[in-house]
This record gives sequence, structure tokens and C-alpha cells, in this order.
Amino acid sequence: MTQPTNPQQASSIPKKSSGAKWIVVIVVVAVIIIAGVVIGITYHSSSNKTPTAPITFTIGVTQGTAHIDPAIATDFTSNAAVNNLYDDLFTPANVSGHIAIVPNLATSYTVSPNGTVYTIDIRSGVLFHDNSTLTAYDVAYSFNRMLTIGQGMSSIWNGVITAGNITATNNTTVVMKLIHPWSSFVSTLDVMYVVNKNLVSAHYASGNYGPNGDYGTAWLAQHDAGSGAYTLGPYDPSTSITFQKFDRYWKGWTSDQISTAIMQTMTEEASVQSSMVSNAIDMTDYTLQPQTYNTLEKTPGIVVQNDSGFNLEMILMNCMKEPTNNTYVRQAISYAFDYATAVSKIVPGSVQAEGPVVNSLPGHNPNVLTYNFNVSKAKALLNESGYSPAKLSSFTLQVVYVNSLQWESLMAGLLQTDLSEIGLNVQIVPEPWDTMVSQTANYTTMPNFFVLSSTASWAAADYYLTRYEMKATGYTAAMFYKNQTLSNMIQEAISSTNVTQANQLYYKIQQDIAYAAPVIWIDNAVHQIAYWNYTHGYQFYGLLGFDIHFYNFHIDKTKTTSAAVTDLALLISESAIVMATIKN
Amino acid sequence: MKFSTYVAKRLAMFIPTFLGTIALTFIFVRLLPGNPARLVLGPDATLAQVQALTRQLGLDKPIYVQLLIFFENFFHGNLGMSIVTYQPVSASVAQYFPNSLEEAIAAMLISLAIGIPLGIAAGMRQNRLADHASRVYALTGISFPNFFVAILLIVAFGMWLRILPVSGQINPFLPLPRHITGMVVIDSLLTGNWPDLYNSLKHIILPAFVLSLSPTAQTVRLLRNGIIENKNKSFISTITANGMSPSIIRNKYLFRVAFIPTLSVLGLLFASILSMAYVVEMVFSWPGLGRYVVNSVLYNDYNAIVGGTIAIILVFLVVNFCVDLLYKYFDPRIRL
Repeated sequence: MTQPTNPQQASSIPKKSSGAKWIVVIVVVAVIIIAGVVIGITYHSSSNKTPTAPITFTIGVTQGTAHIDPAIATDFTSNAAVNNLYDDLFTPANVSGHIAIVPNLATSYTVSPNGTVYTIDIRSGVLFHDNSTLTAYDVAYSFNRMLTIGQGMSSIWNGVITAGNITATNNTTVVMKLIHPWSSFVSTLDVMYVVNKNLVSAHYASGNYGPNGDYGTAWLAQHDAGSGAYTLGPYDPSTSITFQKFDRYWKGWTSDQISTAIMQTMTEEASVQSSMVSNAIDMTDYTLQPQTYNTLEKTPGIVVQNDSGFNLEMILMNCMKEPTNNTYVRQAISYAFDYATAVSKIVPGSVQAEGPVVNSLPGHNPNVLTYNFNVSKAKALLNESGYSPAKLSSFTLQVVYVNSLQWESLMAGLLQTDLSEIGLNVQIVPEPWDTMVSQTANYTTMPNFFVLSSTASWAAADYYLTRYEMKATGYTAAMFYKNQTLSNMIQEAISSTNVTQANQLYYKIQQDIAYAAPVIWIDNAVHQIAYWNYTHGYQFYGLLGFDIHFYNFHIDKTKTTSAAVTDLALLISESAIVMATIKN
Repeated sequence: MKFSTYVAKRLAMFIPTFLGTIALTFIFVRLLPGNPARLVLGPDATLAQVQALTRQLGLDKPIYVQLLIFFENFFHGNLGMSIVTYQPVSASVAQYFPNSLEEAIAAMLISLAIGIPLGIAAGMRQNRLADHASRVYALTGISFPNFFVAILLIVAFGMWLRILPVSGQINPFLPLPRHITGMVVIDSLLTGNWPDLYNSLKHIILPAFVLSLSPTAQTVRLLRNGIIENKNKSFISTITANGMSPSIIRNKYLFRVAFIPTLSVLGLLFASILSMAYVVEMVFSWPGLGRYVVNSVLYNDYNAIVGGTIAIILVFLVVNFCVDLLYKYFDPRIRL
């Protein structure tokens, strides 16, 4: 039924429509004028730039750069800084779509038949930032210094090589003597950065290292002594660090590379987001929340790159404490965990882990036994465990996690919920990290479950496998899984100098460990980073800080969406919405 | 009691209070959970490495021994080294303190610039629009958490309007002005570095505005109450009857009387701005002392926490000391 039309109302409609038309016309004219102005400004500003204008680049990072001494740096920003100021012996590279460690300052190497002596040839013609020549003596000094100080990334070589066992035989040859063979040794030399021996030793202060004083640690905390692509500009650990192009860098330069780069600390995520959208910065780091990357991705001109990282998120099970000392119980728990919920809700963007080695890491076994959520199978395994349901429900299984980490608290909660389905009681215990570490000192103080995130320090499977050795200690080995046969197999694999043979063994080791289920391997977290689309050459290597290597970046602002054009696009789209609203 | 005796007595109380608070801070910091050596060395460090660094830092000694060593160094002007940055803590405090001071001064100026006219307007037009508006402003300033307002401003001015920078003290691509006071705005003004001055002023607006909210609110309310209390007093009626212009009465006589209570709390407001600035400094990545202390807490950087806290304690004690002396000077009844 139609409503009778009010003549007054009917007559007023054309008037409103006419007014709206005028508003539409005004808005369109205004948009055209503003667009003209914006384009004019863009053209004017771009035409003023000479082709040789130095390229500047800013990345907003959510933590300060605490250390720039390669012997001390451990965290993301410090590693990134060191990676730009210094050259490493070997370096990660994308070789045919896979991450591989390739020579950098080293040109080639040979290994003795017993696998313990590495003779490394050092590149000639490399200059330090003070224009002195880098030699093998600097390499030997740097490695010995790192091992003597015993901080930073030096824990990688614990029990493998000690200070004093690295010597230079001439200007281009270094000999490294290992305590025992290690097939991944070369893979770890990507964190072996070379410092200028003469420059550092000229700045010794009194310290704890005998005749070497403080080994130059105080001086290197504020200065650089490297040969990297960039020299150190103004630096404040909590605010920003500036990198200036080193003109005589041995790899040479092209005109589209960055002249001055800044890592600017922005502790507040909203600051990073707004600075990125307004193009005050060119790139973010990887530490933002997934929803922030989602928002950034919707801004025209901003690219969000997702990569599978070398990070494994897991829950360790104490294999020497009841009832998780029982293989059937551990397998049941592994089947009772809801991986899909963890991956989709708790760490969105991540992928389910397949076994004890990160999926994308060289040496990962793609056919390894992978547990999936299957409650009936879990219950069946519990029935085979030898425990009665009453006995199992009498245990209170503690899951401990870092009290400040939300994702770990959610994982612990998910475990509690899932295990209640199969009759196991889980108590959630948030703790400070240091307390957690002290609990892992022995199996009696170690709780049944321990939530852990672990990122590979070098790109090889053994990073994740050596923790299952009999002699392994520390919190990464806190599942206390003891199996002599497996341990021997791991030793054989890491001592092998034959990569094929080592990989075959790694595959078998992974399968055996997966069957024993000492850990709930949950997911491999996604690595996300956002940058403006004029940035080319960004490459994720999986290793902490290596991706922020400014030398790799090529900037081309002429072919891509600039901030002004983005503003224009937003303006037009917003105007369209206004016009549509008026019409309606 | 003579004024000089009073000063000497207050000074005698000042020193043990200062040393006592330092000792308490020193002890409390060491009771925090977590071993700084573990945090510095990273998750992959072995137990042996952690123990070695713990020994190297002297953290294996009993707390009272550590405290004695600290005081020995302290009286030699040495606050120790930061275990995170390997830099002398005293140098870092000297670097970051002027930044916090600059921010606090800017916040104080904003709070006076907004608070005084708003307080006068509210007092002169009691229960009218200006009074209601000032009440809303004051309530907002007092009740909204600083970090929340800061994030709203970041979104508004950084993301939507894009007219103000939302992070840092100055564009890092600009060379810093020559160091005179350590305060970038002041130094760039003194050295005639106009690009730095313009840029640093743009950077300071948002953090200083957020920091000014609470003191502005207090200024508005105190001034309003002072105006209301005094505007009907006989001395005002007398000068009004003498035909003096209302603007002169308001600005010269009424404001002066009404502003005294506000003036007496300004020192404390300034000290509280300085000590509470850490939230704003964190949100806006302002390189101030508060941010330095917070970052040090995250790393259990004991020396840095104690060093930063000493500076803040010192400001509080000095301001309180000065306020006490001023009270004593202006109000002889306190001498009794």
C-alpha cells in the first residue's frame, strides 16, 4: 500500500535535490582544486630534487639500540646495528629461494680430514672506516676477543672453540682449531664480525681482561671500528642511531642506495603506526601486533611482507617427572592440544610446527610425525599408558610461562582447557623469566610444562636438535629427555663433515624425537614487517637483525605511490563517500 | 627561631633524607626478581657465563657490601656504569635530565597559559558557560590517564591531521644545536639555529600539552576558587566604588590576591610533572630521565635505576626545601 503524498512534502523534494546538486558540484570543484594543488606541490618538490640527492631512510623500532659492540650485541636492534657497521666472515643470502650462508669477508675455506681445523681465506682490499686495510690478523683478534669477553652471541661456540685457538698465519689466512668437529660451524660464522684490531687496542681502558684491559668495550659502546657499508653517525642508545654511507665500501655503491639511515626508537605502537601512515618513517620493525600490520596494509603504498621465521613456539614437558615421564601420556597430551586454535587465534599468521625443527630451516624433515588435535586418539593413548583415570586426575600438572607475555598466558590457558578434556588437571603458574630459568636447573624443580619461544641463532637443524643430547643443559633442554642412542646419533650428525650424510641423520633424529614427544611443538611464528613500496631489496633471512641491512635496500620513489599521491587517493575516496552520503 | 637557624635545621634534615632514600632505592632495586646478568647476556647464555658476569658486576656480594661500595663511589661523584650501555650513569643522567627539565618547563608554561585565563574566566563568570567549560576541562585533565590522552593525540595529530611529529625530541636528520644547556629548544634559540628551533618546538607540543593537563586542572580550580572568594570582599568593592576600570581591578588587584594559593603549589606541581613524566616520555619516545629509568628497570640495570632515581629524588627534595624556605620567609607564623 502506498502512502498518500503530502503536496507540501512533494514540492519540497526537488528543492532539496537541487541544493544537494550544488553541494556535489562544490565538493567536486574543491576536490579538483585541492588535487591540483597537491599534484603541483608533488611535482614542484620532486622537480627540485637533483638525481644525485642523497637518499635518507628511517626505520621506526620499538626498542632502543643498547649495544653496537659485536662482542656484546644480542637483541634485534643491536644485531641490526652491528650488521650495518661491520662485515661478517660469512653471511646469510637467498640462494635459489632458500636461505644459505655464503662467504662474505671470507672467500673460501678448507676443513681438515678430522673436521677440527678450518683454514679460511680472507678477502683482500677491504678497508676499515679509518681507511686501514682489513687483514686476517684483525679476524683472529676479533674472534679471540669475542670468545674472551664471553658475552653477546659467543655462547654459540661454547664447548666448540676457545679463545687462543684462532690464529692468522699471514695477511689473508686464518686457522681455527675446534675442540671437536661440528658440521654447522661455518653457518655460525655469520655472527663473527671483524673489528679493527689497531683501532680497538688503542682505546683499551682498565678492565677485567688482563693485559687487554677492558678489551675496548667502553670505547666500542660509543664508536665503531668496522668495515661495514655504513659508519656510525649520531648515536644514543635510547633514542636513535644514525648510519652514514661509507664511500669506500668494498662492494661499491649504486645511486639508488641509502646514504643516511636512521633507526629511530618509538616505544609506543601508535606512534609507529601514525608515523608510518604519514610517511614520517619508511619502515617498521617486526614487533608490532598483527592487527597493526593489518591496518598498515590497508594504507595505499604500504607493503606488509610476511615471512616464515626461524622461530619455534612450544611447550616443554618434563620427561623425568610423573606423569609426563610416560611416552604414552606425552603423546596423548600432544594429540589433545588444539593447534588450529593456537595458530589462528593466539598467534595469527603463524603456521603449525612440524616436529622439533622449524619448518623453513635447512635440514628440516618435511615428513616428520606431526601431531594434530585428536581427543579420541589422546584418550586411547592414555588408556595404554598404564595409569588409571583416577590416578591421572590426582596429578596437578603445573604449566609455567613468562608472566609478562600475553601469548604465553593464552597458550597455557589453552593447554589447561584441552587437557581437562582428557582428565588431566593443569595449574597455570605465571613467573618472571629468571625464576623460570632457575626452575629448569634440575628435573625436580622443573614443572611439568614450560612455555617457550626459541629463535635459531644459526641456520641449521642442529640448533634445535642438540638440546636433546644427554649432555645438554640449560632451559632449552629442560624437558630432560635422555636417550643415549639418540644422543649418539646427534653427535654423529653434528660431527659429520658430509652434509648429505648429516642431513639424513637429522631426518631420522627428528622422527625419533617426534615419536617420543618430549615437547608440544606448536607453531612457527610469522615474521611481519611493513615498508613503503618505494623500498626494494628487503630480504628476510630468519636470523635476528640481518634483514635490516640497509645496503640491500634500493629506493625508487619515482615509480611508486608517494605520500602525496596517497593523500590524494584518500582525499578522493573520502570525497566520494561524502558525495554518496549527500545523494542518499 | 632565627631564619639562618631554620635554614641550617632544614639542611641538616635534607642530607639524611637524601641518603636514606638512596639507600632504600638501592636495596629495593636489588630485591626485584631477575638477574641482570641473565637479561644482558640474552636467553642463550650458559649458566657459567651468567655467573661470570654476575661476579664481574659485583652482584655476588652481600647487599650491604654492595651498598657500602656504592656510597664510596657516590661520594667520589661516581654512580657506576650502566650494565646495558657500558656508559657512566652520571653522564647519562646529565644527558637525559635537561630533556626532562625542558619538557617540564614547557608543560608548566602551557599549564599557566591555559590555566590562568580559564581560571579567571571561571571565577568571574561563576556558574555560567565559562565556568562549566573550565570544570569539564579540569575534570578531563585530572581524570583521563596521560597515556590515553597521549595516544588519542598521536592518532589525531600524527595519523589524521599529520601536522605534528609524534615521536622523539627533534628530527634525527637535523644536526643538534651546540650544547649549552642540553635543552634542545633553548640551545637552538641561543645559537640562532632556526630550523632546529622550529622542529624541536613542533616535537615538544604534544608531550608538553599532555603533561600540562593535570597541573592546568589544578591551576584552574585553585584560581577560580581564589577569584570567587575575593571578588566580593570589601577592598574590591572600595576600589570599584572609586571608579577603577573592571579590567584593572581584575588583573591588578583580584588576580594577585587570588593567585597566591596557586603560586604556593606551583613548585610542587613542577616537581610532580618531572617525576611523573616517564609515562609521557615512553609514549612519545622523549629521551628524558623518566624513560631512561623505565628502560633500566626493564633490563634490571641496577646502577642506572639508582642513578636516575637519585636525580628525581634530588629535584623533589630541593623543591620541597625551597618551598619550605619561601613559606618561612613569607609567613612568619611558621617560625613559631
